[in-house]
Amino acid sequence: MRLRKSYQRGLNARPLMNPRGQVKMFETIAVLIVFFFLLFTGSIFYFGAQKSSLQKEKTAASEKYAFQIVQKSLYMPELDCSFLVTQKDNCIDKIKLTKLGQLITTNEKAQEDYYNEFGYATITVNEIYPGQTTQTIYNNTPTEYSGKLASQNPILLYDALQNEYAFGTIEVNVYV
Amino acid sequence: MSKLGFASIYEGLQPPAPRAPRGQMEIFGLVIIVILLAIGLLFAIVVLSKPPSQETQRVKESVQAANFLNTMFSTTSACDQRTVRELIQDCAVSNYGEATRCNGEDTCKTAEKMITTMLTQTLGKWGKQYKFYMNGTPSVEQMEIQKGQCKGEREGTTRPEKIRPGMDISVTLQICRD
Repeated sequence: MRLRKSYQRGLNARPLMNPRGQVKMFETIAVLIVFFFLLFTGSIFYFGAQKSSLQKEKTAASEKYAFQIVQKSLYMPELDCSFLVTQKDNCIDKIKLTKLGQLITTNEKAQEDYYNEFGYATITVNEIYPGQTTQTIYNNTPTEYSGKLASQNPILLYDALQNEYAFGTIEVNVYV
Repeated sequence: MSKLGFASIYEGLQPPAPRAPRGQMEIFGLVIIVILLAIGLLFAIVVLSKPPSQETQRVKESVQAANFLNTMFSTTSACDQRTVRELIQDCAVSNYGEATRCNGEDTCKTAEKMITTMLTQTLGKWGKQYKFYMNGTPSVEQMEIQKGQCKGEREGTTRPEKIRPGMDISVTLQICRD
């Protein structure tokens, strides 16, 4: 009987679960939850910032590319107004312009050659003063594109027959 | 008094036990977390408040303004096939409204009308604000064409134009952002 009592006391003295250990375990779990929450939030923010920064860089690169094409089209030797081997700045000869437009539209080889220069783009020349005309030199629009960057620049249009200069613009749309 | 009673009195007389190092460690951990959060927040503010670079846009506008002036001056007018440059040269040496007349208007008025049309059909259509003005003589200074307030950031170009030996004017075109 005595032995049984002491055995029972021994069992009672040793609880099945230690409450202090439980608290410690919960504490560890809570710390881990907070740590992973902070890590998760931080990584979401970091990757979001990286994505937005990459998008900005992509847009800037596309803008630079569009501007490069405008500059190329402004100084095309096929279209320049040259007198005694002197090229006039920002000037396109109207006769050369018409002929080049026709050539690119009808000749596949010419289209391929200009594709290497301008890629997917549309180049249009508009006369503003004194007339109001529009002429497309190059048109290569892709079937699918995510964006279009437009860039315009004032340009002189030389009429060699009348010896007159008209005021116009050259508009380049680059597809990205 | 029982044995247990003595023990409890003895314990009460003891000096307070030194602060547990575990508590200190927890405070230290909290401080580190707060510091990390502060650094993260600072980084976020720096990244988000960084204005996007507008270098390409600036170069583009500057080139546009320079090309506009270059193109405009060489354009042939309906006034005896004179260029805008020649009209302005004539206007600069006369009083506004009293310069050489052609097609019922003097050269100052003809040049101003042409420049206004060109600006409206280009920069105006492209949704840009601008300010065009000339300095040098009273008659050309009256030609000021503006769209929008033009009080903030701007890109543009100024170029000198020779009227006659010893007489120059400056022509300015600014493309404004606000």
